[in-house]
Amino acid sequence: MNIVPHYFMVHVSVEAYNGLARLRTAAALGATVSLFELLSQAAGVSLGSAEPGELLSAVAVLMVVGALMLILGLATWVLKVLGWGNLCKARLRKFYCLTRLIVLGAPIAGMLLILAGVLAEFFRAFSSVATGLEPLLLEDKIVASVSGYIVAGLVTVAAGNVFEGVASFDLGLLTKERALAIGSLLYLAAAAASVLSQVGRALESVSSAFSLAANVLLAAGYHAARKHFTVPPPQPAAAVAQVGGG
Amino acid sequence: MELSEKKLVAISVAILALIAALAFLLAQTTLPELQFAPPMGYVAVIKIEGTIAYQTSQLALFGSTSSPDSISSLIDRARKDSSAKAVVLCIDSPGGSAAASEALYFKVKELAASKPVVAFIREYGTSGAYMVVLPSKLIVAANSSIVGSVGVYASVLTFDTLLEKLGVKVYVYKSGELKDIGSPFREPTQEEAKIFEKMVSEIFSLFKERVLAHRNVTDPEEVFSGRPFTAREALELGLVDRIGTYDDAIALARSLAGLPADTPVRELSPPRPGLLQLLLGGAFYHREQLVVPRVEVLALWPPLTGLQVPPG
Repeated sequence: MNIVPHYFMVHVSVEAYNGLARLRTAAALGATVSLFELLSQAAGVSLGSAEPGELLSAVAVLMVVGALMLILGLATWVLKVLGWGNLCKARLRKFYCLTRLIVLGAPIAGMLLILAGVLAEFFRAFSSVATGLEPLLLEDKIVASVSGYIVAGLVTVAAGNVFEGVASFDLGLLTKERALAIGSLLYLAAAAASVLSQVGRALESVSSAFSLAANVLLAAGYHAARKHFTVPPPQPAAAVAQVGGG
Repeated sequence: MELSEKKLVAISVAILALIAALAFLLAQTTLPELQFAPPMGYVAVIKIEGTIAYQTSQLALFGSTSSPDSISSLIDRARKDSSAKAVVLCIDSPGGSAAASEALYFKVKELAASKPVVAFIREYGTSGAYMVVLPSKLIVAANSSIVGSVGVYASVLTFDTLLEKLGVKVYVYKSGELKDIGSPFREPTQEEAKIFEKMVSEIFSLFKERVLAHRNVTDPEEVFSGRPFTAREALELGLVDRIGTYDDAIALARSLAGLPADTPVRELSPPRPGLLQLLLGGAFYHREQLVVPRVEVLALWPPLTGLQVPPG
């Protein structure tokens, strides 16, 4: 009797189980971030007629919330990378390994692209000032060019969300978890809306609402999907020895 | 239902491509510079103010000056920038040195060959400043501006009598009879006067040729008498094309370039000093500039400060 496949199956189950658990936690954190986004947007709208004193305290609160969202966002990202890494190790699909790589690299590449664009324009602005170009012209060029870089950067960042959405949808099909499938479709829609909202300065609330709903469904879906990868209870040492000796 | 690995990648790439396409399409409507169509362009404005003279010129010591070097670089920038569809030269200068004015004349001529140039004379557009704007497609003068003074002069200041009263004697040792022509320490001779007149005449004939080449002058004798004219007189004599405002000049430039009425206007200005220049400028720059005005410049004193129009 060959015990290696059995051990391997147990190992695979553990990796998949842990991966889904991490992705579930990531989705729950993602839902929290989306909720904060929606609340911030609502607060931003209502601050239009606020008194200066109220405005200052509200801005302070929004800054704290922003910092919290940043920390949660980073934690979500790390958990996603680890979760897809577990699913990659589980050898369910090579696509999940690709997803892990893209989830890891796309946000970094996207942010670097945006940062490089901003820096490039910043230095160009200074050199243009030195050559006597008027501020009006500079502002126009900076805003437009930086926005161009931002669009490219946002699309790059969205690559991670798209691959993740498709991978989640595939997981939903494999495990026949409807919440996962629907959640991933909503997640894809939220990814698209997020990019378009940054470019068109609209759909921000739509993007956050889609993201909230998607993350809730994904969290439920990942949670439910874990049952397909239950870890068998640990066998007594004697039993293992018996199998090995048989 | 199970999707193959390839299909999963293909679906992901397709969705991403769709998002990118939508984003860039949307960006075209919200960000004008991302539009694939060529940019609308702008009207460049270059100001030429004060005496036209090189930084080391004796004329550069009074008031503001327009250095041909910095103005030339602005003209070159306007010429090379494909977004600068038309150029307006905003002039407020009584003229300057013949060499500096001529250098700018050739630059404007080169510019006018590549794109529409409109000159706007705000207050003064006389002498060398008028020569500079001659190649422009249109010359617009403000209603109260002074135009013309087409001519050349040379002045020699002598203070030998003053030095004599002070008991100061000057001994000059020269290689040739005319080496110290224009010396302030003695009266000019008849021969020297003739040489100066010849020089003035030659430079003037060049100026005259240029005026006649670019303008349809109605009364050459009057124009080349060297007197300045009001904008209305200049219009009658054919020295300018229109009397108008700065906005009129901009509108004409837009019209000549076939640009819409809302085309932006951008002023090109000389380079601003960098931080290092600001910190070390005093030590590094204008070392050769004199602190005391040269004697020749005193002849021009007091500098032209503008005509006073009585109220009412």
